[in-house]
Amino acid sequence: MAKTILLVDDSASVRQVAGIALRRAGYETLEASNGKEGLAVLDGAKPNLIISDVNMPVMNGIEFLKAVKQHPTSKFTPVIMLTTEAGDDLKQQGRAAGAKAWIVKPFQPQTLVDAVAKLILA
Amino acid sequence: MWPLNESMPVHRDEHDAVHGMAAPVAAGVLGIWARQVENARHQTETAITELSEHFGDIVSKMDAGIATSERESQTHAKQADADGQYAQLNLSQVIDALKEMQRTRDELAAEISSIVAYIAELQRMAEDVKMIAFQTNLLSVNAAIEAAHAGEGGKGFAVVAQEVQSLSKASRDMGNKINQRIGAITETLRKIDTQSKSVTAQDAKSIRASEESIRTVLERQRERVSEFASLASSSRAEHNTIRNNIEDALVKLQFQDRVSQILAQIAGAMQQADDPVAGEDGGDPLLADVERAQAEKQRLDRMASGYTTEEQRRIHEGLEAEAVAPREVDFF
Repeated sequence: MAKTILLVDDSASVRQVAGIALRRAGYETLEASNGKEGLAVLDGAKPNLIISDVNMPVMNGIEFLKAVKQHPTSKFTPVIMLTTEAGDDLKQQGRAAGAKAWIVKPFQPQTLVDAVAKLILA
Repeated sequence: MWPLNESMPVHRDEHDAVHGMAAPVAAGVLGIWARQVENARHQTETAITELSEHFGDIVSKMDAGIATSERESQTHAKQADADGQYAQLNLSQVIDALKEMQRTRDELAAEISSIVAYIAELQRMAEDVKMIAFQTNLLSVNAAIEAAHAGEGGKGFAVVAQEVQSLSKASRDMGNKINQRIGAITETLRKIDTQSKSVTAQDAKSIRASEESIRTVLERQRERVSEFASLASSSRAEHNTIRNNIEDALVKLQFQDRVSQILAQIAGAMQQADDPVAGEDGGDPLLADVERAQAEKQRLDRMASGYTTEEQRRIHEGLEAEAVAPREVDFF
């Protein structure tokens, strides 16, 4: 059975690109355009991994990550932050909030797929 | 793409500063530019998103096509290889069977040759029988002469001599008949031997021709297998190139998000800079200058805090933007 990945990003093109890469690797994908929508998805589904942008309207990625870690069914789901932000301060915020990996955009699709595979198996 | 501090309020001092800096720009122009930039950003984002969707469909269909093509290519190559091995095995068996037939025929020819040799011996034996008959005849003649010399007492012996002579004649006739028969058999066997040798020579020629034909067939088969393998290999190489191009395209498509973030930040800053500021023409000019300087610094700091990419920050600091390229993953 295919593993499911939740993609949270306000950029539809990034969701498309990441979705193409993940589906080519055999994963199924769910999508949300901000943290609030992401939490709504988690109320009805239990993805095997979450990939989230940081800079998003309504609820940003760090806030979303913190909420995921409080979520009753998804608190142990690994989260990868996928963002244009490369600064150490934000990375430390992500790490402290429970992210498992930080990938800076633009990313190599294979790099993303490898990271997902590694964290799902871990 | 939205900055973490996205809900930037409009501050009077900030707009004072901007207004001071952008004094040559007519009122409302920055706002128009901001909307134009935002419109361009939105159009690009919509187009790239649709392009990404189409690209996703194309990639999905292409992946399916490539997978089918690779499967078929492998199946054909395997089938051709199996056919080649099957043909080689079976044709080799045919050659072996032909060679076995030739060997059997050679053995038969050798047997016939050896029979011919035996018959020559029989012929000599038949000659011996004739010689014995001749000598027996001489003996019977001498016995008859002697019996005649003996007169009345040799009459009985003369009868025996007569019988011996008859037997000698019969032996000679028999020897002649044997000789004739052996001659006929020998002639027949010689014909068989000659024919057999001719057929054997023809067989050998046919087998050589068959071997040559089979070798040609097998060689062509091997060439076909090799061609299939070569096609499969070049097909794999082309597919790898396509895959690499897809990877590259997926990286390039992400720059829209980056550009969109930069343009959104610029449009937001322009919009804020263009908002009207109450009382800007009144009050103390000196105080206004100080306030403007402070407000400009605050505005720039606020603008910098809204950046989401390294190149925005570098440009803000007057540095050259570095080339953006994919990086390694930071695992925590």
